[in-house]
Amino acid sequence: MDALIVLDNVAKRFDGHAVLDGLSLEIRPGETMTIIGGSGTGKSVTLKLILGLMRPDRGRIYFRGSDVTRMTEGSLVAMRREMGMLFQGGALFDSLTVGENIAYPLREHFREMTDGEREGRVASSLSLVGLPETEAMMPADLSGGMKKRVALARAIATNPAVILYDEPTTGLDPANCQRINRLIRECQRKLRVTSVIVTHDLESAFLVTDRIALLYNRRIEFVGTVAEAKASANAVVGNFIEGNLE
Amino acid sequence: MPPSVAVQKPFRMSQALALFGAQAIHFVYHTGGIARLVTRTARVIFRSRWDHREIVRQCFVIGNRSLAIVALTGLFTGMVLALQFTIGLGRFGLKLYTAQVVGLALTRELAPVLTSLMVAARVGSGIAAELGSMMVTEQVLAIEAMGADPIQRLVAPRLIATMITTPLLTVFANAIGVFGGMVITVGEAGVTPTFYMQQIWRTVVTEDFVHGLAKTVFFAGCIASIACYQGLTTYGGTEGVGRSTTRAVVYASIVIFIADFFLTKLFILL
Repeated sequence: MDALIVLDNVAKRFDGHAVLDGLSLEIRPGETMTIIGGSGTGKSVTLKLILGLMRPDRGRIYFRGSDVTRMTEGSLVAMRREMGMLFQGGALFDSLTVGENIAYPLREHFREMTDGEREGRVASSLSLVGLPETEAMMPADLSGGMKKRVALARAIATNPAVILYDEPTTGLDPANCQRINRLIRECQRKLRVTSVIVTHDLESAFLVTDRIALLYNRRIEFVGTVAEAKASANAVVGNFIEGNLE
Repeated sequence: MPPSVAVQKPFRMSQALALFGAQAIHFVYHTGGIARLVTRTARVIFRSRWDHREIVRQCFVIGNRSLAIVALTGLFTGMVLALQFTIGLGRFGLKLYTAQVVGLALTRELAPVLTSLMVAARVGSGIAAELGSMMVTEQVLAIEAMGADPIQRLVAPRLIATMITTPLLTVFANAIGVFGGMVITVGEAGVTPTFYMQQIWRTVVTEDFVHGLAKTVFFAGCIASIACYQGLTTYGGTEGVGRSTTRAVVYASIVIFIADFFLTKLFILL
């Protein structure tokens, strides 16, 4: 099966410090790939590289066969129309209502859409995340879990082919973690999207993912299914699963 | 216990040079950053459609934030000018000319500069804090991730709105400053309000007024550019937001004072 997203020998440095060096990974269409690893290992950077928000210092990134690292601004905008991203803290716009937040990508990507169509899409996205009729609320009035759900509604509003999740369960209580995990699975089932999740929450990763990639020492140390990860003889994988590896 | 003189490290020339060099690099780096931001913003302003709704909203926010402080500054500047000049000119028996001096000083210099400083303090800090908070909470990245250009959505409307609003606030500061000067001159110099206003109309020509306003357009561009740059280069959480906000006000104020001298000289030469 041809990969939808390919990272080929990617390297990225910040202030002379290498965060990624020789990272290679293939993500297949329709699958849920979870990238796990300790804090500060470059997981979020990997998502930003896929979305073209950063350019790698070396290596290539392909989306549907097109080289993201060489795309023009116009091509990047077109690619981002096919991708939704759930940021770690939600990244909701404080000055806009919940409804306006979700309508934002629709206004950018679907200028031909009528106000009625847009309102309908906003309402259906909110229903999908279990927050109907909250359009008029402000982000400041929402709890942490609700913010993540609104951010997820915003990510799926454009019916993207790929959803990128940056630490979707970080900072949430167990009940909200379960709810977010359930929503991620529902999005996979109902929308048939390709999902890339970065997290250090192994429990959530095992629940929602098809394959796991372990980011260690600036590159991918292991790629495989949950069962393969649990049965892996790789010491780094074993230590990470047992919580002995930062 | 403070170290004794004997154990203090001697001051080295090389350290001073290294410090100076680091500061020079820092200055050039950030000046270049602001120049790049201004160039990109100018390209967006001239090539893209303007977000009129956002520009009007920003004008309202800027006006709302600054009107009271500009009024207060204008009023008391006019009053204190009148008070000083009635004393100063009174020594030469020229109290009757207080209106002329107050009018000229306000329109050519004090109203534009003080209004711009107030805008830098109120609006510049607000812009830097708002954009800085958006940076540290990844909202700016989210704008980009959703296919929009942060320069078009965030910087251009704030720059345009500041450049529209600051001259308008200066007109208001001129008016209220002249009024404040009138109240004091009438009381201290014993002239009538009509005489005071006639003196102003005779002395202050359109050129004085326009030069003052032209300066504020330039100052406003500097305030917004510096504040947006500081906001968009924020890092390090809430501490970083505080740092950016302070820098935006300090740097904008310095630029206003320096640019004021050169612009005044330029307008005199023209």
